[in-house]
Amino acid sequence: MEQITILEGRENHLFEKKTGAVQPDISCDTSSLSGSVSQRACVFCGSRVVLYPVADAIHLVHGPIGCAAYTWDIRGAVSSGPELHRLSFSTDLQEMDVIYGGEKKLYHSLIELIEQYKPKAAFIYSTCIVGLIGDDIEAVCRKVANETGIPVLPVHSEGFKGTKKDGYKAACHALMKLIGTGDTDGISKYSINILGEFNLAGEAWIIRKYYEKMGIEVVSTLTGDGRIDAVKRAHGASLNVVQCSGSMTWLAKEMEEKYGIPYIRVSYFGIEDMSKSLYDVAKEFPERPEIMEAAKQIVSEEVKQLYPSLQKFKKALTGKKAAIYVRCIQDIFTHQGTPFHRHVGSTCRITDRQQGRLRTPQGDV
Amino acid sequence: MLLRHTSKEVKEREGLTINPAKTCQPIGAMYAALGIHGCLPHSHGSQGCCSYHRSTLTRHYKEPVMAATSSFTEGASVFGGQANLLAAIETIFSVYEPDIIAVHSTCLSETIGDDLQQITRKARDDGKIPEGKHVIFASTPSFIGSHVTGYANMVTGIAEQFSVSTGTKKNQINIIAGWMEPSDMREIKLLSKKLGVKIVLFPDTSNVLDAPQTGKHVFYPKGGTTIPELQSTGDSLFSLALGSISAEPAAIALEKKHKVAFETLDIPIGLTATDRFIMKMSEVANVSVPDEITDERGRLVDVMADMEQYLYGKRVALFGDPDQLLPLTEFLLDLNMKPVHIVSGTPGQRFEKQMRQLLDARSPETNFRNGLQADMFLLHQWMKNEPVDLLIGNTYGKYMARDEDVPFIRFGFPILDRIGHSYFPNVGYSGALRLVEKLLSAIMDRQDRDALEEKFELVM
Repeated sequence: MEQITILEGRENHLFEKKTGAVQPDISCDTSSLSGSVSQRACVFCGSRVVLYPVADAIHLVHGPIGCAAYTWDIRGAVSSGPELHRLSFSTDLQEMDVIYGGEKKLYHSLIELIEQYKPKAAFIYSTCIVGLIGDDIEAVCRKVANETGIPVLPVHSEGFKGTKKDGYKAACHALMKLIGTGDTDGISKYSINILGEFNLAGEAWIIRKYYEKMGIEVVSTLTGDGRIDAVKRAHGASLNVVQCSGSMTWLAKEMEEKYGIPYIRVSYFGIEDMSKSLYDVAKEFPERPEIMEAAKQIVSEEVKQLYPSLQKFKKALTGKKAAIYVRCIQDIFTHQGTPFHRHVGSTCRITDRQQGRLRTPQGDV
Repeated sequence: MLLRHTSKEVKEREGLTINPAKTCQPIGAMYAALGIHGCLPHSHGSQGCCSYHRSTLTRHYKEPVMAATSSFTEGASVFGGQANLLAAIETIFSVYEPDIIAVHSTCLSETIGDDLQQITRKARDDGKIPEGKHVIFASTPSFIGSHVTGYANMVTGIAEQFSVSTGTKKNQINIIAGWMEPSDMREIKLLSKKLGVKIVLFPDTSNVLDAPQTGKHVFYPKGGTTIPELQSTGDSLFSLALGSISAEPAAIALEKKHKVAFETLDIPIGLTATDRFIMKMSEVANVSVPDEITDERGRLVDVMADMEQYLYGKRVALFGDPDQLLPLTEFLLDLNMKPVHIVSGTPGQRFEKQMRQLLDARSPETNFRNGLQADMFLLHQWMKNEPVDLLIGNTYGKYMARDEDVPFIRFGFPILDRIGHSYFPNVGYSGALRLVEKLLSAIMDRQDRDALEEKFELVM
């Protein structure tokens, strides 16, 4: 087989499982090397994907046109109501704006947008160039918020400031400014926020339905099928349930610190993880055993339906080796419970806890 | 519906762009560089830019698109990106082994003032460019022009930095491809062969972005204009630039540097533009037009005459890039259709003037706008005010087509949800025939769908 050389400085980003050898942790979450053929995105992209499913807000990209064009409807996040998030808004910065500053253009764009769409809030994303020319986005946002009466939130997502993960954090910062500004009256004691679920193909609807069937109130989904009013009152929930931990753990921790809301991590991929998620949430409400009973009922019904059809696949796939190349480590866990011998995985963002989960007898990384 | 947020009332906007009908310069530079054999495009900026361009091109072509990035950090953005580019050049030549690195800048590297010429010179002086290998560059800040001008800048860079004149003229003609698909470039080569004219076509993405499945992945597919071909462009008899925005600047560069005379034509889309191309080729190369081509033309004219009744008076909205919109509009007019709204995000007075001229002569009431705020939102508003029978544009048009319930033909860049554009040409007589077929199918399918029982016809 042809040997491929590993880029210098990237040796620790790959390892081969060898019997008896010490297995170091895989390196990750660093910028690409200069000169590499990379598919890694930027800080801005991280912020954009996390925030954009909020469907009744406008998402204005302050920068040259490309940043807005390439992230237009970037992940197909679906909404059950308004779809403002699927439009592409840009200040389309020109050479003169780069020289003289883009604040005026940003101000006018915001006023025009808010007048046109009457959104519940506005997110303003800074791009590389805005970070360089030093537009005071905070000041413009404050001014527009005062004039229009809606929250206008800057997202500090200059592309060069780190990796996509830093963009997640910038997005969470913006969300934190909204959380705590809504009325929490009437929220049940048995309530949660769903964090890190983006409703790309309607998953948030399925998951929400499970929890509601268990008798749990879902205060907000961050951010799949998201609504500003729901985000504002997210601090009224009793528990945060975090799925995409890479993007939302920071927010969960902040909410724990500021509002005393505990959080748990879950995964909705595969039968095992999905069931465990429902049980884990039920365990957080021990004073109401009906919740656990309902969870068991849901799992039993779903598995009964699913199990027979899975047997066909199992028969066909048992013993096969699979090469897995993913961006998000959660995808690898999808294959838990499948008969594959997982052979290769590669990812950009991986947490220590996920490293541990990967080292099973069944899988090589 | 997705675009129910679009209001009918058109208001002048001061800064805002909604649903852009363009994207930024670097992706054009990347696309152009892929048309050079053994070339790895390189994006001198943040790592995100490179990924966006690669993924958009990959989605458009369903082919892996290779390109490298300088991967700017905060430090590079403060202290300049020279160290990143020098390191990148070293990494690329040792790991990916291209013959050429084609560097394009981004808004970030331009604003901090990186000088690509100086950095590449330093790379050469420091011995970072191996013998026989090349690094070329083009300046493509995202805050100027559009993807189309970015393409033009890289094609100009290619012409300027490779061409040499030996003092002996070569019996060949340069054809500088404006932004077109690999299928179009293949067709241009085929037509030239039929005419018996030796050409150097650049860039040439055929056999790069429409490469056949061989069971083996290669980093540099067999297509693309070669270095010796590019070097020989300085000795050519003549240059034909296909497209005044995307191709002419390179022809000007060759004229300045090597006194190669040139003429600019439209991209040969449609009957008349193809006629001009064929006649010009026959004139400058002093060849007669073979029957094979005349017959191709005849078949197109026959179909146009047979089916004109279905196209006559049909109202069309179109958006896209200047060099395609001009001949396409002309072709629609030749088919007796009515271009009602035309939008291009690409700025520039040259294009504005050319389009106005065409419209003033043949369709003065057409709404036309290009440049800032000439976006799909405006087009959609226009469509709400003056409805159309057909929409033509890139994939993003599907939202408007669905919202307004009009037939939609995918044309331009990017097309993210269908195939065909990389395999079947739009240029030449056969390309025009394909366009007519598409127009007819779109309109007649709709007629069938909406026909009352008694008007639902077997023979049309």
